[in-house]
Amino acid sequence: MNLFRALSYKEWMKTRRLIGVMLLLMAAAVGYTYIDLTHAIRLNEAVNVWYGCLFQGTSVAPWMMYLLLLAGIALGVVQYVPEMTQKRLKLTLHLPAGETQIMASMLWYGFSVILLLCLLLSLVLSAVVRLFLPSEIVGMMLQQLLPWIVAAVAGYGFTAWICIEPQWKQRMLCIVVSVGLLSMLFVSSYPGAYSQFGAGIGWILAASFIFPFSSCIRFKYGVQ
Amino acid sequence: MSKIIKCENITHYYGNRLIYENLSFDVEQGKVLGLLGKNGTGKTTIINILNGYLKPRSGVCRLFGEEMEHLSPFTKSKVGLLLEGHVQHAYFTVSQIEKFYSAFFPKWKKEAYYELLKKLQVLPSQKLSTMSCGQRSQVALGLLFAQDPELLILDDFSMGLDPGYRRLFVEYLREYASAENKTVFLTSHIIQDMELLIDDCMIMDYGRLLLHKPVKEIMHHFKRYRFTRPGDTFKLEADEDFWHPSALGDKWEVYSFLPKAEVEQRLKEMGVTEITEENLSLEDAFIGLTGKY
Repeated sequence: MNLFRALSYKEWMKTRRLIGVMLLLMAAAVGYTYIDLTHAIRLNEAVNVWYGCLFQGTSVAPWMMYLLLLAGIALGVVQYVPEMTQKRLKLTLHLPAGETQIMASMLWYGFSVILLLCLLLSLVLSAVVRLFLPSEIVGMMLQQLLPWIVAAVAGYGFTAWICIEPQWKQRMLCIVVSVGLLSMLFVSSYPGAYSQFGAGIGWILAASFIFPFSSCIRFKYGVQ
Repeated sequence: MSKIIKCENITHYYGNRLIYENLSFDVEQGKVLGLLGKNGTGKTTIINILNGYLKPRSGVCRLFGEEMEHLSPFTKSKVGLLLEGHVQHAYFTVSQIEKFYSAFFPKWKKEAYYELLKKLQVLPSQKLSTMSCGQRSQVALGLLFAQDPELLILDDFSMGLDPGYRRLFVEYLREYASAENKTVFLTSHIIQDMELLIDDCMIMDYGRLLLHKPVKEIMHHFKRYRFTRPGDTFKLEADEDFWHPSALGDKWEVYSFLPKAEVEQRLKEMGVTEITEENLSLEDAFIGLTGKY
């Protein structure tokens, strides 16, 4: 039995509608970027748009800051709220596999989905922006996107951590810690601002993967 | 016979409230054991402890010899679990949930699942979330039969079911357990269903195990005795032989495992001249053992 594949079927059934909605939203966002960019070039001329991007750090797609994070949180909610409703997670953990492996597989599914969506969006957005702007600006846009993609991935993991946590008091603490860690990724939106923060990004991502296991252990021991 | 479930000295509290102290019991292979108790006596708690979903303050339970907190995947594959309220993954359809579970169990019996579901007016494409409680109970039971576990743990299987579905559930379960020498550990609020199903009975009281005996023994030996009060000053206190004596006007009743002759002898000393012995249903016996309130 391939545990990841078997569990992914369940996770897919829960998340497929949301993934469809996210794809539509992302297509709409790319379409909006195309219209916005062509409109700005028509009004301000290309050279001024280039100047704003290169020297003033103007974002080509500023709304991505929120869209990606919301996508991560929504995926976490859609995946884990049904597990906690009527404590269905007991059924999942009762499946004939190690509990750590079960939890890890569910998390990997979510991380993979959100990462794939972010990569797909970045790719399509880069292709669209490349039609009008030079590769340097596309590179800067991707540098700007990087912490927001990390926020989406970590936001998913922290949402899982919060949803699985069985005790409300502890859940509040999880929310405070999550908001604190995620806010570190929104201190600056200037391209390349996080180039020296690789270790911090690594720690945040690691925390978002490890913390849900602590909630799962507390759930398993019947903490109320 | 080997012991499929073995619990030793389980003590558990919710806050300061004692649920059990040094609770010990075991279930032998092939037995159907019913756990009875009033609300709040810890029936679901013991099921959670058995499956490792609750850490007791002290004590240990073993399923197939493995400690409850560290059940191996192999042991989990031998245990079928029905949660209270027939909880299942409600976002699946009838056929999707079968497909999902089949990937985990090598000996999966797809036909057992669909055979049971033939009795229901549901389509394979119907979502579990749109089903009635009774229909969901049959889906849950069908999934357990398809899993073909050696031990079934059923938490309040009759909850929310109408008499027809309850009877269907009980009949299928009885046939399954007896034909294939399965071990079943179950709880239910509807005690008359248990009477048709269980071999052994465990009755919980607040904080302790009141009784653990074969149902036949309880039905054969536990009786209700009725008599008329011999005088205004008559009073009968409960003791280890007389369970929950109570009066309505001058009519008294008391429950006991003692044979009629001995009850007559004891009551005669108190001035009672004539007593009537009554056989009990399991529900009556439960009331006699735990009291009405």
